[in-house]
Amino acid sequence: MTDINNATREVFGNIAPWMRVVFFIMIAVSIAVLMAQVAARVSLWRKGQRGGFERDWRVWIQRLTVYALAQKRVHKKSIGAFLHLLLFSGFVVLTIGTILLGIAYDGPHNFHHGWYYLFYELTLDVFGVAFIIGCLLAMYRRAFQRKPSLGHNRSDWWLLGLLLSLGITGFAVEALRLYYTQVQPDVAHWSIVGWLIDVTLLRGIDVRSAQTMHLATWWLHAILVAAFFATIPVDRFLHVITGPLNIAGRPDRPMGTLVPLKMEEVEQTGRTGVHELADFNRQQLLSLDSCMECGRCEDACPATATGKPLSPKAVVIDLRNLMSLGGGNVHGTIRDETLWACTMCQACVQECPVLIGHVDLISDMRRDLIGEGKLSGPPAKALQQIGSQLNPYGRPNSERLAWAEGLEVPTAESNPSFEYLFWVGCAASFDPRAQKVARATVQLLRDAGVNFAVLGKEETCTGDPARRIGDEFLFQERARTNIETLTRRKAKKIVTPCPHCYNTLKNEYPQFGGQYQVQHHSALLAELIGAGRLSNGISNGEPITLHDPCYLARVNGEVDATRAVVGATDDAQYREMPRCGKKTFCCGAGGGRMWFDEAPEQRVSVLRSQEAIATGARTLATACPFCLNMMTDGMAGTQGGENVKVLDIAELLLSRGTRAGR
Amino acid sequence: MVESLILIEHDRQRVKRSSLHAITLARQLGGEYALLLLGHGLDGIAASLVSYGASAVVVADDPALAEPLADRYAAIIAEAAQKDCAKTVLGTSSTFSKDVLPRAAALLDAPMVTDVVAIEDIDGSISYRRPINAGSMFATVKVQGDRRVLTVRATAFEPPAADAAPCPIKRFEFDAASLPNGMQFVSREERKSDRPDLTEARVVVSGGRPLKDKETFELLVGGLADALGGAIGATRAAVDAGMAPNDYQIGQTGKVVAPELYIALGISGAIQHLAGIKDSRIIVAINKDPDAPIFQMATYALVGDLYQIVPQLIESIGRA
Repeated sequence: MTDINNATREVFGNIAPWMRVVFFIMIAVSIAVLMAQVAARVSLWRKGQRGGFERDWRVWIQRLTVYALAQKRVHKKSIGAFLHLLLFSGFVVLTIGTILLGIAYDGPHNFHHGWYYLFYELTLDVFGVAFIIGCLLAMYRRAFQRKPSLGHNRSDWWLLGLLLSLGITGFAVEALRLYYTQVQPDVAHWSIVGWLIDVTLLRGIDVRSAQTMHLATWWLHAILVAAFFATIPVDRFLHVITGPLNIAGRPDRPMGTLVPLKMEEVEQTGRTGVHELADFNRQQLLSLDSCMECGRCEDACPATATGKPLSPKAVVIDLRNLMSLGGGNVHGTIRDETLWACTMCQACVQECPVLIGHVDLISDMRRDLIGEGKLSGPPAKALQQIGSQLNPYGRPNSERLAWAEGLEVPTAESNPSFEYLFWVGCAASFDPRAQKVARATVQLLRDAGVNFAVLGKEETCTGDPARRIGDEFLFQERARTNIETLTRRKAKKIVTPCPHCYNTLKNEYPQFGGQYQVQHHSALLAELIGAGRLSNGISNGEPITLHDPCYLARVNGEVDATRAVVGATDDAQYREMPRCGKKTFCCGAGGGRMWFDEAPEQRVSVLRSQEAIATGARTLATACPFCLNMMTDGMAGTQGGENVKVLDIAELLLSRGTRAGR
Repeated sequence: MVESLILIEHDRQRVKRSSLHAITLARQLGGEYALLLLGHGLDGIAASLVSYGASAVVVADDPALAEPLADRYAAIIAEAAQKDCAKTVLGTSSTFSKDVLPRAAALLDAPMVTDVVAIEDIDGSISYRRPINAGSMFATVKVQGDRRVLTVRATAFEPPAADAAPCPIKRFEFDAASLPNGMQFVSREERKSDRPDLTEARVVVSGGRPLKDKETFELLVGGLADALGGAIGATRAAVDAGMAPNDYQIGQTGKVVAPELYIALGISGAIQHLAGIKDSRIIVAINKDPDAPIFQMATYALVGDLYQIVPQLIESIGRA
């Protein structure tokens, strides 16, 4: 029986002093190679514009904990996520273990013995096994699943092979060390993998040859470690360094906001947006290097799903390649059609485990295209009309209240003591289909006795489409005028049926000094139902499903109010689509796509309609005038869609008889 | 020796009126200008151009130029510009000019300015105004060198008067055998129709998805259009479904019409379609769905089955 307190291991026991010198030189060189390569990347990032990084260290800590350590964005039900967990935890624990070993032996006090040592051995063995299983799963996934969005290069096999051999030689070294130093079984048991190898494969080998084999395997393992260090900055491995950097460094902004351009800066630089790669800021260039090409963004992208020439992953990789080549004109690498194909639904941004801001990259390049006059046709006309008619539809702004005919809707002028300002939005003001939503909302507000008013002719486009398309100054012009009007009319609480107006008023107007309590009509209606001022009414008993608008659900995280309004919890006939809530799927209208022409086979609305039809729903409820337009069109063009009614939640609520207790 | 050389477009029978607007810019520039016509069998077209105050109508007439192949046309344009020492080569912005003029500019090694809407004299040299930022701003640009190629926006310049004394018609001699041969003419598709042009018609009858197929579409929409002497239009959905050809599409991504009478058959009224008809004087909508959004825009709304209503309409118009 061994005294457990004396249980420990030899370190470098089998390695002659001169060999140790060679080993340390080799490791030093490999780390120098690593540093030099990382330094080369850093110098590429430094070609970008200054700034762009988050400066608040508390945000760094919070993000690193959530996204780097807890890997929040990586988790999901897939082999990829599971194997990453194994590789990541194995990598972290083995690295920490090695560092601890170094501290124990080179530090003033050697603590590497006793129960600590035994627990250490067990832990490292368990995580070493996890690491090897992770490698094998990754190989299985590459060999048999071959998910296209992951991308498959020969170098991936080299990298995985390197990781796997590191794990295997590590255990071989352990087994041989235990064997030749003749550790007693009650201690050796704790190094479970090494011990199992000893009693099976190594059984009967003489101690001297085990010692020789240990030396050879030790060197092999050491060389692999050096190779690993030198390989980190190459290919997918780089994300172990750049991933956490980008996670910490990405600026902290609400998801639905874009960065304002300052006129003074534009006058100085002569640039509106990104033309040369170096026009991106340094954080954006770093973010390109943080991509490990997992393809989750591409899997979530509605443009990729409909065969448009855009993959968010390809945008990042193409820009990174351009950076590696020393930079240059981004439009030589990223085609205009690619940039215009984006619906700015933010699904890629939501998916990215290392927090890359694909939409910001695309928006910056779009701004340059707009500055260069590269946009033509209907979307360009929509911009012109926002400028000249103050709405993208080109209708005279004097007709703003046409939707309210016969309703005698109070205006901020006739009812200056209003509590809620009802921001109608251009779509509900001018699109005859969406006008019904405005009418329904007004009737509901009246039923519930809400004191509200509209701006009427004083309301103009929020500028949202202009900003997403890339015409930042047109947006700012609208924002300033609207903020001035809202201030003059003393608006405090704003309610709107349009998630795009909602997002812009709530998240983007504060950039220009406009601070309001903004609610989407779903939130106010849910509140009124909760307070008993409206009732959910009675469902017609038919199956119903809900399409979450991106800028309400994903971007602003609001998924409960819409469900409360349609009575989802009490309705046995309510169904969810596979992609629902914050993980909703775009209708195809965002990012200005409402005004682009799309070939029938490229319409996102058709894909989404098929998904809704598959639930068996006879009613598709939504909460956005653009989704309403797109989904109506999608249903009309999809087999089985003719039986599905597309309604806004306000229309649905009104049709169900809503007066509470009357 | 001329100041400007103006590329004139034609459809083999007539001059395209819009291409004459470039003459107005040439007059503003001052100096003599010549009109350049390319094609085959151009005598009649050339004769219609003599009164526009040009120093000459230069005609490159050859079987090799029968089809507008950009490489050949550009070679001729560049050669003519050099021969006449023209300082400015210009045409009206169009698909045709965008195809040939950039090539000519490259051959001449001359800078090019597209979509010019005005010229300005800044410090004694000429600058050109052109829309940028999707038309919300204008850039004023100067060019270097003594020759330049321009395209002009037809809508920014008045049509020129044809009141000058007739000018000579000059044949432009060239060696057809030495023209570039990089492009081959494959085929030409033209739609012949006795119906009036969609964008100019006083009456437009338009159909949507409920028309089912091409034959039904032609029978009902075409029948009613013929009874009223109108043109045919279609929604994007009808075009997608193959009921009507692409160039019948009305709306945001199609044509914009403003007839005196617009009849919408089975059209629900998506905003994208309404964008193309909002300036129509009278809108008549026939739809079986009483909630169809188009009824909010329609002057006259008829709720009912178009398969019953339209044949009756055609019949009663025929009787009247």
